[in-house]
Amino acid sequence: MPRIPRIVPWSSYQELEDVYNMLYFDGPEAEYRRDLGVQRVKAWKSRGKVPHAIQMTANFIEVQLRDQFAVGPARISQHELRLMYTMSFVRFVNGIVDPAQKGQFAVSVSILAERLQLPLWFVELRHAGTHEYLPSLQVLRNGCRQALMWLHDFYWMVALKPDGSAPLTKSSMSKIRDMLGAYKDARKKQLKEMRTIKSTESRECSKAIKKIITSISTDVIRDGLIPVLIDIGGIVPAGKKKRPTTKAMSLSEDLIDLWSPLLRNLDINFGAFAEEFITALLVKLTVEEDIGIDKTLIGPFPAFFDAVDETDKNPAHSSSSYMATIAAWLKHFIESSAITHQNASSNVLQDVVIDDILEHCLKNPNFYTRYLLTVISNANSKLGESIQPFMSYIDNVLNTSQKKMASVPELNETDMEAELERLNSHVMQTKQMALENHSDRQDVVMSECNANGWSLYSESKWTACPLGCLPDGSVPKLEMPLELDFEPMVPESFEN
Amino acid sequence: MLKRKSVEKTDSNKKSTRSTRSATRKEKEEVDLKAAAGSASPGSPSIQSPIQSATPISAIAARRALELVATTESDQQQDTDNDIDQQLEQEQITDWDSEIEENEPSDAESEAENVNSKSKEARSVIKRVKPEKVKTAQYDPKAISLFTPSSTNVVKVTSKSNDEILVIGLKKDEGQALFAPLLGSFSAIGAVFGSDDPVPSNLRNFECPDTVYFVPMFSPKTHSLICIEPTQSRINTQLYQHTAIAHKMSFPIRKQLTSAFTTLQQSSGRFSTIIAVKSLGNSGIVDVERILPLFKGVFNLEDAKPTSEDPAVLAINAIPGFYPILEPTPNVKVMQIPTSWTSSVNQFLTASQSSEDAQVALICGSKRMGKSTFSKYMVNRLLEKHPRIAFLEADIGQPEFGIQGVVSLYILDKPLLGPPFANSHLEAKRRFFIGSITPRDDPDYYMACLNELLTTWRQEVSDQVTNDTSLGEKPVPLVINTHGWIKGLGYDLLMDLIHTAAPNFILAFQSTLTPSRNLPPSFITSVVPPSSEATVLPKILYLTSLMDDLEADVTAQKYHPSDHRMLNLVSYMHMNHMGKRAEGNAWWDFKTRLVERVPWCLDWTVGLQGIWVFFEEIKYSQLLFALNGSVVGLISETSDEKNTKPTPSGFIAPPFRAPASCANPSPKITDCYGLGLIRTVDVSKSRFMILTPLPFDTLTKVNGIVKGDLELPIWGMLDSRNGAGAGITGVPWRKVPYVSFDANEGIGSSALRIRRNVMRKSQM
Repeated sequence: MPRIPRIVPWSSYQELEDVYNMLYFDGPEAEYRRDLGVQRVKAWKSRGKVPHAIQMTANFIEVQLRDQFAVGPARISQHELRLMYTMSFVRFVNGIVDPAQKGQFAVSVSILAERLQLPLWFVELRHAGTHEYLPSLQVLRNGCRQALMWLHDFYWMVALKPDGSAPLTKSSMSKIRDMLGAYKDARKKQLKEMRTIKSTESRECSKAIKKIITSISTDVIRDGLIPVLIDIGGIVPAGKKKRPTTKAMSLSEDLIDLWSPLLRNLDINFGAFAEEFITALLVKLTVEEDIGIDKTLIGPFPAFFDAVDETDKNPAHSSSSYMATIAAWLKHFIESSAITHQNASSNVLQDVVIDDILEHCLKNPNFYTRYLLTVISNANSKLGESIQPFMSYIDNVLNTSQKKMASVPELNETDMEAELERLNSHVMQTKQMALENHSDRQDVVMSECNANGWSLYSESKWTACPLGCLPDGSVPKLEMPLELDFEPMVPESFEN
Repeated sequence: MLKRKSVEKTDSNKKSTRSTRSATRKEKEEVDLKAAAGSASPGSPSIQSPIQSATPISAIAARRALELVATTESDQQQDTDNDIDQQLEQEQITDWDSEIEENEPSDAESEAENVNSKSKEARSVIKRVKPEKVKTAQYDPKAISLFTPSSTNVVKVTSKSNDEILVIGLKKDEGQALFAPLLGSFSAIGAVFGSDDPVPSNLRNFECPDTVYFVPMFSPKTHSLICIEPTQSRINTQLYQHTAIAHKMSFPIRKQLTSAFTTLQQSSGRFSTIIAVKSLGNSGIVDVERILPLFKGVFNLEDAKPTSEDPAVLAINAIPGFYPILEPTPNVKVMQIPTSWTSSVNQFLTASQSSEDAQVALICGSKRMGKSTFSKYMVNRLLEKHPRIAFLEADIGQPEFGIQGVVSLYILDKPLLGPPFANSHLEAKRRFFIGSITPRDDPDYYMACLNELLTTWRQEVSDQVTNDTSLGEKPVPLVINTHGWIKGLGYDLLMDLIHTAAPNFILAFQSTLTPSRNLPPSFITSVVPPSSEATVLPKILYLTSLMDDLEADVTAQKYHPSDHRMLNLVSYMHMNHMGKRAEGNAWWDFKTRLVERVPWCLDWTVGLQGIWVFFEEIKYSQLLFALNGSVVGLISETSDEKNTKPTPSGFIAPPFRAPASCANPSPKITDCYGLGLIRTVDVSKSRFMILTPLPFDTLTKVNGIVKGDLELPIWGMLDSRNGAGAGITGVPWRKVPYVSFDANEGIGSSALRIRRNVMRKSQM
């Protein structure tokens, strides 16, 4: 069963990190930042599934703020403060200890606390507050500070992955390049040795592979490693002669041998590598008209985008030999995955999902994807039969567009636009057939906003996107001006 | 975490024994058994299955095993090994159940599997060993049809358009199908359907009517299976025809039906009922397993295909969606109607038909006692005599109508023939959004809404009296379904409701086996209304709980209430065509995922009067963080308030009714139409993008949004790849909001998990 993600209340890792920074803020005017963190955690609580440690952190900080800043007319008594602190402690200790009660019978709280490295006097505080006397304010204040530090060390430092989502700076990219270069050299040397000497032992090569695997974390793979891999100098040789021709798109054995060990190891060590690699290859094959990528799509950090700008819009990537190489690699993966399981271990990538490739090729018909469709149908005859109609249709579309370009048309603009419309709608239909998208929507006719504010999103502009995202895939900015919190509300009549 | 209740039956009559095993020894034992099976020859009188030592699971299991008595069973039945294994599959799939559960069995480390062997005494012996299953297979001895298909009582009729119609006599069924009585009448869950004519002695003269009215029925394995029986009652044909789906019978079919009847004539006895069965394949509900893998296969009988080659058996199984249980089948449980239920409903019917005042019945009892089955049964029985009945659904966690978190008043005129999700398309007369699956966080608001619904019902009755005096229709009776929460605060709420509603009859479930689940003895006196002026003294009628039926109780533990809620919510969001349902249209569309659907847009500067957030105090500036991607209630409020003022920066915020200064939506001036999902907040255009099954004309009335703590399961957020692939709809996982693959690290990283079954050593 494929892994399923879990639901979390934050819209991105960045939001989690922001809240952490706000809660533990220690600078000028800290109280506003910390309070904002507390309020954000409350909004998260409305969503549900907030980790207990985060709730407790917010609890403690809220009481601390009240302690610090309830002065003058807003002053509350020491007893009230003691009650609030004690309650936070009780919930804190219980929340840590109770999930650890896994057995049939209750284990004493102090034993569990010891196992979890919770300081024992937290447990004493909790016990005192529940069954005996209310602890003194000094002890509670102290305890609150220590509890926040405990939460910091035992939860926040573990939950936050400061390395994982760090922006890929130019220096880290060059490091990746260096590592790949080292691998390439080592492997070339090994292959040369293999031809002359029988022994295939090459420590350098495996060392290089190991270095790559250990220094790169999962997140970096998609944005850092893969772009370098599929760049010129990676799996696409720099020398154009070494690249396959568009006529016979097969890779040279040398090229496959050069990269197989690395790819295989990456596939074994990183579960998502195969999918992301193939997706990246497929994306390279599809040349869209508007390449201008909206910077805000890539990520919330502008610095990140600038750092890897170089690889995105490389004109050399649209050269036919480059595309041919990419297509040839994909062909290799498709064909090798079609071989039965006996040779499974010799495949470079396990678990190549042909359906994904198929879907992508059908959605973006062009010369190379058309070729890949042929490859797929050759590899899997049953599948080939079912996609045969699509292939002939795509042939028609491509031929017509080619013919159009060949002849010197004397069409005026309206004619051309009509043609374009027609072609577009045909391609849309193909896409819809391929995706089995029969929607039986209500017959609602509206384009304008209804007088009551209701309207339907225009279907032509709609694309599927995850819940919480806008159709372009980005997460909207959900912050609203803070002044809203201070505005006196229009007094409503209170119903008893 | 694993939870298990172990029940073991010993049977002194038969010599076969059962055993429990751990998962690791599975293969070895299969081999053993198969060897044993091979050695059983058909001629020997009885067979012993290999005796294995039973590994005691826990002290509780051992005790209960001793308590249970051996049962003697008829030839047809089999003895079974029952280790009931409840397994919460993954943390992410199951919501944390906030209901108070009593005496849940303790955790155990290992998984036990069972071997089922079936043996028959007498001359022919059939020994069949079922391969071990991870989940248990229990047999409900009653879940078997009394119907034996033969060539003389089952005829399949096909027309050119591939519409197959089965003509049969009597069966129990599973799945989903359409039924129509051709002659005579049949009943299901208390509802009676019939044609005008009884079965004539000479069937050859039967002429098929032009239009046959089919009634849709749903009977998945998640609930008890519907049982269809012939009855003698006379029914109101007009009423029935109005509620069913008409199907024009084309000429070829009619011709075939006539010849079918000729075939039927050949059977020896006289049929009391002849019905037609047709596939309901287009409803689309089966596709729910694409989204919720937990519910794979609940609409069909994959794990126990009939083995007989008899053409009649093949014919009866030919309608897709209709699977009669002809042989003992695992994991199914049949719906039963004990006699106490029938007599209680009869008493109510007598009162409601004779009295001038509208009668009120209130159903109460703990969970898992059969309250939901009983309410369906009662509604269907009452509909025989009353054209309309009122139903107040006060159970917000497991409502009969599939929408959780709301209290509703329905005026029903059609029978209820399926589990809650099959009924979520019904429109309520009035409804309020409570925002949670339990009223414990705001019981006052809950009671205020219920009071308002009662007022609406009384208004309805008084309107009827003023308008319909000529028709002679009796006043609309009211059936109230309450929570299964009968301890502590739940009990107080129940008492409150009883005092306000002043029911004439209180139908209370009682279990003799587990007295802890019964209402306290003081109940009888507490229900007496406090004030001496009250005229209505409720009469308490006791209903036997289905739990008391030992043989049948063990089944259907496979699905938790939280699983049902998940099924209900997901199928609600995927509904098409609320309201009128026609044959041929897909009633649900599970093929299009929520992430793919085109949303409605609500401009909050124009169409929104208020946004409320229940249970948490949120600051205005953080509101959108709570709303983005959340399940909300869609309400309308009739008032003239308009309080969206732009902030100095020119930004118009959605009109938030902060709890510090505003009250909850007042029941007197609000109405809830249903649930929706704010799939995205589009700040740049000041609008909410909302997914909801409500039709557009209803949507335009919505001017308020309420957020409670209802949650959408992770399955609703995925695309058709169900978690595989590099992301959702092309957005890579790292950029998808509200989901995370990062392992649960750090102490306290999961949200609060409530466990109420930890015991102390001193308790043993």
